[in-house]
Amino acid sequence: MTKKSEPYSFVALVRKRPNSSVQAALWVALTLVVLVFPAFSSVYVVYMACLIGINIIATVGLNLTVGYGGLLSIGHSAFLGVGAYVSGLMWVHLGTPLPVNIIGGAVAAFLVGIAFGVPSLRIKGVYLAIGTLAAQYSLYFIFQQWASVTGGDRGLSLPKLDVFGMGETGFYYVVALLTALLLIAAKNLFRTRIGRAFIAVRERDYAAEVLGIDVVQTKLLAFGLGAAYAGVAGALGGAFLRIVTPDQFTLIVSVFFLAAVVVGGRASILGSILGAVFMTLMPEILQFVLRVVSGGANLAVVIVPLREIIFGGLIVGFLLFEPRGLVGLIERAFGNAETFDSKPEA
Amino acid sequence: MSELLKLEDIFLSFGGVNALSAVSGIVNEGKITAVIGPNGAGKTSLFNVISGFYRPTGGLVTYAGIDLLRKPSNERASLGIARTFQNIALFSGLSVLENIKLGAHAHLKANALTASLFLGGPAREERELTATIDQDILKALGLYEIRDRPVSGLPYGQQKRIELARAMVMRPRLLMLDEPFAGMPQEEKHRMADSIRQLVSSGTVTALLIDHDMETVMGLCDHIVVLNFGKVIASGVPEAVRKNPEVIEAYLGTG
Amino acid sequence: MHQFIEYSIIGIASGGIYVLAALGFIIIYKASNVFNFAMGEMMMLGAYFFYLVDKQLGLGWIIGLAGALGLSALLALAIERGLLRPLLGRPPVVLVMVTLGVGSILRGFAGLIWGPDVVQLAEILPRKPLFIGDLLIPGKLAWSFLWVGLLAGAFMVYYRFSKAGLAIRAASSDQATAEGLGINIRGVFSLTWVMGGMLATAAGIVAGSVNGITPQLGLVALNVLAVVMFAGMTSVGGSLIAGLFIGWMETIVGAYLGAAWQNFLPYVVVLLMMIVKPTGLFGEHRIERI
Repeated sequence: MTKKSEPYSFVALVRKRPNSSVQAALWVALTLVVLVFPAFSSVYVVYMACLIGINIIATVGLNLTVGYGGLLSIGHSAFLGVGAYVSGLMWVHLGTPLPVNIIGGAVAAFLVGIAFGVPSLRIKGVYLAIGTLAAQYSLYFIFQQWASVTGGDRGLSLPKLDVFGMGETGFYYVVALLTALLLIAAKNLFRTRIGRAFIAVRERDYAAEVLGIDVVQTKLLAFGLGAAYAGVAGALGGAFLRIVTPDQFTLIVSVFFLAAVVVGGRASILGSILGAVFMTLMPEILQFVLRVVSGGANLAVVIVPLREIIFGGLIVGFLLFEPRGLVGLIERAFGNAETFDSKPEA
Repeated sequence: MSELLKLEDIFLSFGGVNALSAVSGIVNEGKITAVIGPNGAGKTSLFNVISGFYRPTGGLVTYAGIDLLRKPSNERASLGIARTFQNIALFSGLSVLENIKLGAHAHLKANALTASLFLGGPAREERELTATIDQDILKALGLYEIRDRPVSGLPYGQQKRIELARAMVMRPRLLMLDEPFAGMPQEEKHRMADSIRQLVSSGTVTALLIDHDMETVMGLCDHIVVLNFGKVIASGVPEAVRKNPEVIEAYLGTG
Repeated sequence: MHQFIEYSIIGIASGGIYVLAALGFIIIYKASNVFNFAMGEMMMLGAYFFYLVDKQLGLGWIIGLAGALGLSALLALAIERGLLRPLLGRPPVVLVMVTLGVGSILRGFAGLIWGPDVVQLAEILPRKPLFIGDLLIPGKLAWSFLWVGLLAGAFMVYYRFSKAGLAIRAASSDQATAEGLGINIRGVFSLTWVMGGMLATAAGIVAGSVNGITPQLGLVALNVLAVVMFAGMTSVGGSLIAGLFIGWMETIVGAYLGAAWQNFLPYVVVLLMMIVKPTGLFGEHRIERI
């Protein structure tokens, strides 16, 4: 989404603009930080960084579907599950290296996404949302019941991964690299007719048809790509946590990513990053606050409901008051108060 | 003089209401044809039938010898039919340039894989497209200054011109314009009419338009079809139509 | 055969709960085109409201019922007025996301206030099993079906014959014309949400009476989704048949194929309907004018 070319637009600053030396300097600095920071940080911080990277990938994927594509997907975590199980199984049974497993997971998630998308996208309205809900629960059912393959509730245990002989840090670099590549890939889509078609179909599909865009195919692509990104995130997550269980892929996880998209900013790559960072850190901050407030009392019973309230509250709150998400808040601070969701006629 | 678009006995109804009855007409190649009539006469419905959005209950639409009703609506673009909308169908999430680039969608080659890499093919076609639009279209329609602005919030007249620009990028053979002059001051109407005339006289484009403004339409068009209550009540050259008593009645009487 | 009939009756009886919930869902969608993803949570909270007034405040089940209906009506109104009304012009995706968020919030509050453990509702349904000939039907189920029947019947009468019901049907069929005729569309929206909330509460209380309540009770709403898809999202009458049928099918599948398949069945139905007939058996195809 291009904004007015105001000199102080924060988003324009961060956006790739040719011939901007400030731009280039910022990117170099960022790359350096990302490359060098594990040397100065504790294991916990590197752990969180990996988690953030994985969540960024999943959030960008969901943003492609929901933000750019305008399609409501409530089953995103199921596709993470597909990626996690397929790549994990490939590793355990085929012994293939990590990159191959990740691709396997992504492709499987893409295909499963398309499979659920085809019946749901041919018809207008809220049917895709229903289809994704069906996907969420059907896939959970399969993860849980097909115990001979998936290990059922006990899950899949994965061996330790040692990348480049650097252990934890090695994995961090893998995550960082993949995150960067997938972010660039997503951004590139919107420099071409593919990305433009997503937005056109989201806003007015009849006008898109007139322009020669195949609306159903475009929606399927937006949906399938989102699922593929989730597949990558799931594959990475599985390798990271070394265990894959059905309970990692439930409705609340899907709502988590939806919140990340809404909070960060729909139809914004930067928003996806901000949203993922925010949502990943939020439970940690929440736990910290609770510990301080309650002085060590039994938190377990309270954490899950609190999380549900916060996730839901964030979605509702941002949709009501700042539909452009955190990106919108930043823009607003710089004086740019455009609206995002207004129906074109309104 | 060849027939580019031929309508034969189009019937269209919505749950009991007859929107179009036995509508027939011919659009000749290289000419400017207008469909006029009072509000609710069925003009936009006719466009929607041609675009493939409404399925008529009877009749035939032939375009360059092809049975258009058998084709899905998104194939119109590659067949060379472009269309604008009465209430301006621009995409507010995109800039002026990006909106116009969408016109070339059917001609571009990038797919999801090549697009995400953006090396070679897609980069080149985007560059070339931007250059073409800059040179041939933006300057001609006076849109160059606002090329990177988001389309929301732009004045109505400019938005209409952007929609026209997008239609032009489609390199159409048949250009369908729904109310291209609506809501414009007189001077802008003249400019829009000039743009349309220039397009057609360049030799490759045939124009079919809908509008209310009798004066502008009479001065611009070669052939006029008048609709009232979904039926054709007159058809011919502007001078003849202007004098037709039924047409006068339709506009001044109950219309 | 004897067993099959027993199972069938049990299935139909449990389908009654689905009918109520489906009615609540459909009435909201019919009038305002909003897909209320918080339906299950409204059922759950309605049951908890009943528990609150009846047992926790000790006011007895009659006041408990009234209290629950009243509180849930207020909640529904608050949701509609406070959250959905301001978002009226936005794309439908946004409205649906909001109901999703609301569902999550409601679930969280229930978990915070009443904890995750199962809570038993007061024994308003007699436990003694009923015998039809020599077929045994669990007492709670039989009585719940009776209550459901009464409530659904009352609702249908109101919907068919009252001015409000007429207004709802008019607004759902053609909003612009209805408004032109003087029907208060915003009022209709609020009314359908209140009705939806109350129906959800009734369904929740009945469901809770049979099995007890937890904050997860809302998950049964996903089965209701199958009913709604099967009937058609706009068919009030169809939901009666669909609810009973799905309830019956679930029980039969559960009895003969096991619990896992019983849980899986609703999604099969949903996907099947989407492929074969997305508007459901009785739903209407809403024409979109360009």
